[in-house]
Amino acid sequence: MKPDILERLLIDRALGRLDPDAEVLLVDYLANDPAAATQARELQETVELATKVMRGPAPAVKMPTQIHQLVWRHRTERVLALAASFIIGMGLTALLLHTNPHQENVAVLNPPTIAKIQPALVKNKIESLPFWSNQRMYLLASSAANSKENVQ
Amino acid sequence: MQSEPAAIEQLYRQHSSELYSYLARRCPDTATAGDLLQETFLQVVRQTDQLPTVTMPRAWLFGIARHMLARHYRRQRDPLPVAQTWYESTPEPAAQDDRLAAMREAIRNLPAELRDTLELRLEQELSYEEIAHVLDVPIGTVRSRLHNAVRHLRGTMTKPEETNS
Repeated sequence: MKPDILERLLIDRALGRLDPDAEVLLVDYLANDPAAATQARELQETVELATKVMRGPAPAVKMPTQIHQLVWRHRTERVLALAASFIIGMGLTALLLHTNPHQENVAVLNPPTIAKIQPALVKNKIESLPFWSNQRMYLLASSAANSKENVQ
Repeated sequence: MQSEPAAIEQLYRQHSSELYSYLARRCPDTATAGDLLQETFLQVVRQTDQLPTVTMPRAWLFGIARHMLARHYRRQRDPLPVAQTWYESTPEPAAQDDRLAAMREAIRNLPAELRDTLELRLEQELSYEEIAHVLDVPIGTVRSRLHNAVRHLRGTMTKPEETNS
Protein backbone atom coordinates (compact mmCIF):
# COMPACT_ATOMS: atom_id res chain seq x y z
CA MET A 1 0.00 0.00 0.00
CA LYS A 2 1.23 3.51 -0.79
CA PRO A 3 2.47 5.30 2.36
CA ASP A 4 0.27 8.39 1.89
CA ILE A 5 -2.87 6.27 1.39
CA LEU A 6 -1.95 4.17 4.41
CA GLU A 7 -1.45 7.29 6.52
CA ARG A 8 -4.83 8.72 5.49
CA LEU A 9 -6.55 5.47 6.41
CA LEU A 10 -4.72 5.31 9.74
CA ILE A 11 -5.65 8.88 10.64
CA ASP A 12 -9.30 8.33 9.71
CA ARG A 13 -9.24 5.20 11.84
CA ALA A 14 -7.67 7.05 14.78
CA LEU A 15 -10.33 9.75 14.43
CA GLY A 16 -13.01 7.06 14.47
CA ARG A 17 -14.26 7.78 10.98
CA LEU A 18 -13.08 4.77 9.00
CA ASP A 19 -15.64 2.62 7.25
CA PRO A 20 -15.99 -0.73 9.18
CA ASP A 21 -15.23 -2.82 6.07
CA ALA A 22 -12.10 -0.80 5.34
CA GLU A 23 -11.07 -1.16 8.98
CA VAL A 24 -11.21 -4.97 8.80
CA LEU A 25 -8.94 -4.92 5.74
CA LEU A 26 -6.61 -2.43 7.41
CA VAL A 27 -6.28 -4.54 10.56
CA ASP A 28 -5.33 -7.52 8.38
CA TYR A 29 -2.75 -5.42 6.60
CA LEU A 30 -1.27 -4.09 9.87
CA ALA A 31 -0.88 -7.64 11.20
CA ASN A 32 1.63 -8.29 8.42
CA ASP A 33 3.43 -4.93 8.49
CA PRO A 34 5.08 -4.10 11.85
CA ALA A 35 6.23 -0.62 10.70
CA ALA A 36 2.71 0.31 9.68
CA ALA A 37 1.43 -1.13 12.97
CA THR A 38 3.82 1.14 14.89
CA GLN A 39 2.68 4.13 12.84
CA ALA A 40 -0.95 3.19 13.55
CA ARG A 41 -0.27 2.97 17.29
CA GLU A 42 1.48 6.34 17.35
CA LEU A 43 -1.37 8.03 15.51
CA GLN A 44 -3.90 6.40 17.80
CA GLU A 45 -2.00 7.60 20.89
CA THR A 46 -1.71 11.09 19.43
CA VAL A 47 -5.44 11.34 18.88
CA GLU A 48 -6.21 9.88 22.33
CA LEU A 49 -3.90 12.38 24.02
CA ALA A 50 -5.33 15.28 22.04
CA THR A 51 -8.85 14.16 22.96
CA LYS A 52 -7.88 13.99 26.63
CA VAL A 53 -6.47 17.51 26.53
CA MET A 54 -9.36 18.97 24.57
CA ARG A 55 -12.14 17.50 26.64
CA GLY A 56 -10.34 18.52 29.83
CA PRO A 57 -12.32 19.15 33.01
CA ALA A 58 -15.93 19.70 32.07
CA PRO A 59 -17.21 23.08 33.24
CA ALA A 60 -19.99 22.85 35.79
CA VAL A 61 -23.22 22.88 33.87
CA LYS A 62 -25.60 25.41 35.31
CA MET A 63 -28.39 25.80 32.84
CA PRO A 64 -29.50 29.37 32.37
CA THR A 65 -32.90 30.41 31.09
CA GLN A 66 -35.52 27.84 30.27
CA ILE A 67 -36.50 27.67 26.66
CA HIS A 68 -40.12 28.74 27.08
CA GLN A 69 -38.84 32.00 28.54
CA LEU A 70 -36.87 32.53 25.33
CA VAL A 71 -39.95 31.90 23.21
CA TRP A 72 -41.91 34.41 25.27
CA ARG A 73 -39.03 36.88 25.10
CA HIS A 74 -39.03 36.59 21.33
CA ARG A 75 -42.82 37.02 21.15
CA THR A 76 -42.64 40.04 23.42
CA GLU A 77 -39.93 41.51 21.19
CA ARG A 78 -42.13 41.03 18.12
CA VAL A 79 -45.17 42.58 19.78
CA LEU A 80 -43.09 45.53 20.98
CA ALA A 81 -41.59 45.96 17.51
CA LEU A 82 -45.08 45.94 15.95
CA ALA A 83 -46.35 48.40 18.53
CA ALA A 84 -43.35 50.66 17.96
CA SER A 85 -43.88 50.57 14.17
CA PHE A 86 -47.55 51.42 14.64
CA ILE A 87 -46.79 54.33 16.97
CA ILE A 88 -44.09 55.67 14.66
CA GLY A 89 -46.45 55.37 11.68
CA MET A 90 -49.23 57.20 13.52
CA GLY A 91 -46.78 59.86 14.67
CA LEU A 92 -45.49 60.47 11.17
CA THR A 93 -49.02 60.69 9.75
CA ALA A 94 -50.03 63.17 12.46
CA LEU A 95 -46.88 65.19 11.81
CA LEU A 96 -47.55 65.34 8.07
CA LEU A 97 -51.16 66.42 8.61
CA HIS A 98 -50.05 69.01 11.12
CA THR A 99 -47.44 70.59 8.84
CA ASN A 100 -49.84 70.68 5.83
CA PRO A 101 -53.38 71.09 7.31
CA HIS A 102 -55.07 72.46 4.15
CA GLN A 103 -53.83 69.74 1.87
CA GLU A 104 -57.30 68.69 0.76
CA ASN A 105 -58.17 72.31 -0.27
CA VAL A 106 -55.20 72.74 -2.53
CA ALA A 107 -56.37 72.67 -6.10
CA VAL A 108 -54.04 71.49 -8.75
CA LEU A 109 -53.74 74.23 -11.26
CA ASN A 110 -53.51 73.35 -14.86
CA PRO A 111 -50.44 74.82 -16.45
CA PRO A 112 -51.31 77.58 -18.93
CA THR A 113 -51.59 76.30 -22.41
CA ILE A 114 -51.23 78.18 -25.57
CA ALA A 115 -54.00 77.63 -27.99
CA LYS A 116 -53.00 75.74 -31.04
CA ILE A 117 -54.30 77.54 -34.07
CA GLN A 118 -53.95 76.76 -37.71
CA PRO A 119 -50.83 78.63 -38.99
CA ALA A 120 -52.55 80.01 -42.09
CA LEU A 121 -55.39 81.48 -40.07
CA VAL A 122 -52.96 82.96 -37.60
CA LYS A 123 -50.95 84.59 -40.35
CA ASN A 124 -54.07 86.23 -41.80
CA LYS A 125 -55.19 87.38 -38.40
CA ILE A 126 -51.78 88.84 -37.56
CA GLU A 127 -51.73 90.80 -40.80
CA SER A 128 -55.17 92.19 -40.12
CA LEU A 129 -54.32 93.50 -36.65
CA PRO A 130 -52.66 96.86 -35.82
CA PHE A 131 -48.88 96.51 -35.71
CA TRP A 132 -48.37 97.21 -31.96
CA SER A 133 -51.64 95.74 -30.68
CA ASN A 134 -51.55 93.34 -27.70
CA GLN A 135 -53.56 90.74 -29.56
CA ARG A 136 -51.04 90.75 -32.45
CA MET A 137 -48.17 90.33 -29.95
CA TYR A 138 -49.97 87.41 -28.32
CA LEU A 139 -50.65 85.68 -31.61
CA LEU A 140 -47.04 86.16 -32.72
CA ALA A 141 -45.78 84.67 -29.46
CA SER A 142 -48.15 81.69 -29.56
CA SER A 143 -47.37 80.88 -33.19
CA ALA A 144 -43.65 80.99 -32.37
CA ALA A 145 -44.19 78.61 -29.40
CA ASN A 146 -46.26 76.25 -31.57
CA SER A 147 -43.64 76.11 -34.27
CA LYS A 148 -40.97 75.33 -31.59
CA GLU A 149 -43.06 72.40 -30.29
CA ASN A 150 -43.48 71.06 -33.79
CA VAL A 151 -39.72 71.17 -34.34
CA GLN A 152 -39.10 69.20 -31.11
CA MET B 1 -45.65 17.27 13.16
CA GLN B 2 -44.35 19.14 16.23
CA SER B 3 -45.35 22.68 17.04
CA GLU B 4 -42.56 25.23 16.89
CA PRO B 5 -42.15 25.75 20.66
CA ALA B 6 -42.17 21.96 21.18
CA ALA B 7 -39.53 21.45 18.49
CA ILE B 8 -37.34 24.18 19.96
CA GLU B 9 -37.78 22.80 23.44
CA GLN B 10 -36.71 19.38 22.21
CA LEU B 11 -33.61 20.90 20.59
CA TYR B 12 -32.87 22.65 23.85
CA ARG B 13 -33.25 19.45 25.90
CA GLN B 14 -31.07 17.45 23.52
CA HIS B 15 -28.26 19.89 22.78
CA SER B 16 -28.13 22.73 25.30
CA SER B 17 -25.79 20.87 27.63
CA GLU B 18 -23.10 20.20 25.00
CA LEU B 19 -23.52 23.67 23.51
CA TYR B 20 -23.09 25.17 26.95
CA SER B 21 -19.99 23.07 27.50
CA TYR B 22 -18.59 24.20 24.11
CA LEU B 23 -19.27 27.85 24.93
CA ALA B 24 -18.06 27.63 28.53
CA ARG B 25 -14.68 26.31 27.37
CA ARG B 26 -14.29 29.37 25.18
CA CYS B 27 -15.63 32.08 27.47
CA PRO B 28 -13.87 33.82 30.34
CA ASP B 29 -16.73 32.99 32.71
CA THR B 30 -19.81 30.80 32.89
CA ALA B 31 -22.15 33.80 32.96
CA THR B 32 -20.98 34.82 29.48
CA ALA B 33 -21.38 31.23 28.29
CA GLY B 34 -24.93 31.23 29.68
CA ASP B 35 -25.69 34.49 27.90
CA LEU B 36 -24.32 33.15 24.62
CA LEU B 37 -26.34 29.94 24.98
CA GLN B 38 -29.40 32.07 25.48
CA GLU B 39 -28.49 34.17 22.43
CA THR B 40 -28.00 30.99 20.43
CA PHE B 41 -31.49 29.71 21.23
CA LEU B 42 -32.99 33.14 20.77
CA GLN B 43 -31.53 33.02 17.26
CA VAL B 44 -33.12 29.59 16.83
CA VAL B 45 -36.49 31.04 17.88
CA ARG B 46 -36.00 33.86 15.34
CA GLN B 47 -35.25 31.31 12.61
CA THR B 48 -38.07 28.88 13.34
CA ASP B 49 -39.18 29.07 9.71
CA GLN B 50 -35.92 27.30 8.80
CA LEU B 51 -36.49 24.40 11.23
CA PRO B 52 -38.25 22.08 8.75
CA THR B 53 -35.34 22.40 6.31
CA VAL B 54 -32.59 21.74 8.85
CA THR B 55 -31.08 18.34 8.08
CA MET B 56 -28.35 18.36 10.75
CA PRO B 57 -29.79 20.12 13.78
CA ARG B 58 -26.71 19.56 15.93
CA ALA B 59 -24.39 21.06 13.33
CA TRP B 60 -26.86 23.88 12.74
CA LEU B 61 -26.90 24.71 16.46
CA PHE B 62 -23.12 24.56 16.74
CA GLY B 63 -22.88 26.84 13.71
CA ILE B 64 -25.13 29.40 15.41
CA ALA B 65 -23.28 29.07 18.73
CA ARG B 66 -19.95 29.55 16.98
CA HIS B 67 -21.32 32.62 15.22
CA MET B 68 -22.55 34.04 18.55
CA LEU B 69 -19.16 33.41 20.09
CA ALA B 70 -17.35 35.15 17.24
CA ARG B 71 -19.76 38.09 17.45
CA HIS B 72 -19.18 38.32 21.20
CA TYR B 73 -15.40 38.51 20.74
CA ARG B 74 -15.75 41.02 17.91
CA ARG B 75 -17.85 43.24 20.17
CA GLN B 76 -15.33 42.86 22.96
CA ARG B 77 -12.57 43.71 20.49
CA ASP B 78 -10.65 40.88 22.09
CA PRO B 79 -7.37 40.40 20.25
CA LEU B 80 -7.26 36.70 21.18
CA PRO B 81 -8.62 34.27 18.61
CA VAL B 82 -11.75 32.58 19.94
CA ALA B 83 -10.32 29.10 19.99
CA GLN B 84 -7.23 30.14 21.93
CA THR B 85 -8.94 31.39 25.04
CA TRP B 86 -9.79 27.99 26.44
CA TYR B 87 -6.24 26.71 26.21
CA GLU B 88 -4.74 29.95 27.43
CA SER B 89 -7.00 30.47 30.39
CA THR B 90 -7.38 26.96 31.81
CA PRO B 91 -4.78 26.35 34.50
CA GLU B 92 -2.44 23.39 34.19
CA PRO B 93 -3.55 20.67 36.65
CA ALA B 94 -0.85 19.68 39.15
CA ALA B 95 1.06 16.40 38.79
CA GLN B 96 -0.04 16.01 35.20
CA ASP B 97 1.40 13.62 32.67
CA ASP B 98 4.28 15.35 30.83
CA ARG B 99 2.92 14.10 27.57
CA LEU B 100 -0.39 15.83 28.24
CA ALA B 101 1.42 19.11 28.87
CA ALA B 102 3.38 18.67 25.64
CA MET B 103 0.21 17.86 23.74
CA ARG B 104 -1.48 20.89 25.23
CA GLU B 105 1.36 23.05 23.98
CA ALA B 106 1.27 21.36 20.56
CA ILE B 107 -2.47 21.99 20.22
CA ARG B 108 -1.98 25.58 21.29
CA ASN B 109 0.56 26.02 18.49
CA LEU B 110 -1.67 24.57 15.79
CA PRO B 111 -2.89 27.01 13.13
CA ALA B 112 -6.30 28.29 14.21
CA GLU B 113 -8.29 26.64 11.42
CA LEU B 114 -6.73 23.22 12.08
CA ARG B 115 -7.29 23.55 15.83
CA ASP B 116 -10.85 24.69 15.35
CA THR B 117 -11.65 21.72 13.11
CA LEU B 118 -9.91 19.25 15.42
CA GLU B 119 -11.80 20.57 18.44
CA LEU B 120 -15.14 20.03 16.75
CA ARG B 121 -14.14 16.43 16.02
CA LEU B 122 -12.43 15.43 19.28
CA GLU B 123 -14.12 17.65 21.81
CA GLN B 124 -17.64 17.71 20.41
CA GLU B 125 -17.49 14.45 18.43
CA LEU B 126 -19.11 15.99 15.38
CA SER B 127 -18.96 13.94 12.19
CA TYR B 128 -16.97 15.20 9.19
CA GLU B 129 -20.28 16.18 7.53
CA GLU B 130 -21.42 18.11 10.59
CA ILE B 131 -18.07 19.92 10.88
CA ALA B 132 -18.30 20.86 7.20
CA HIS B 133 -21.75 22.31 7.91
CA VAL B 134 -20.59 24.22 11.01
CA LEU B 135 -17.52 25.69 9.33
CA ASP B 136 -19.24 26.11 5.96
CA VAL B 137 -16.43 24.39 4.07
CA PRO B 138 -16.41 21.30 1.81
CA ILE B 139 -16.09 17.94 3.52
CA GLY B 140 -12.77 17.34 1.75
CA THR B 141 -11.40 20.45 3.43
CA VAL B 142 -12.50 19.13 6.82
CA ARG B 143 -10.78 15.83 6.17
CA SER B 144 -7.55 17.41 5.00
CA ARG B 145 -7.51 19.86 7.94
CA LEU B 146 -8.00 16.99 10.39
CA HIS B 147 -5.28 14.95 8.73
CA ASN B 148 -2.88 17.89 8.77
CA ALA B 149 -3.65 18.58 12.42
CA VAL B 150 -3.05 14.97 13.49
CA ARG B 151 0.10 14.76 11.36
CA HIS B 152 1.35 17.99 12.91
CA LEU B 153 0.62 16.82 16.46
CA ARG B 154 2.25 13.45 15.88
CA GLY B 155 5.32 15.18 14.45
CA THR B 156 5.52 17.45 17.48
CA MET B 157 5.07 14.62 19.96
CA THR B 158 7.66 12.37 18.38
CA LYS B 159 10.25 15.18 18.03
CA PRO B 160 9.72 17.40 21.09
CA GLU B 161 13.32 18.72 21.09
CA GLU B 162 12.80 20.33 17.65
CA THR B 163 9.75 22.31 18.71
CA ASN B 164 11.39 23.49 21.91
CA SER B 165 14.47 24.84 20.13
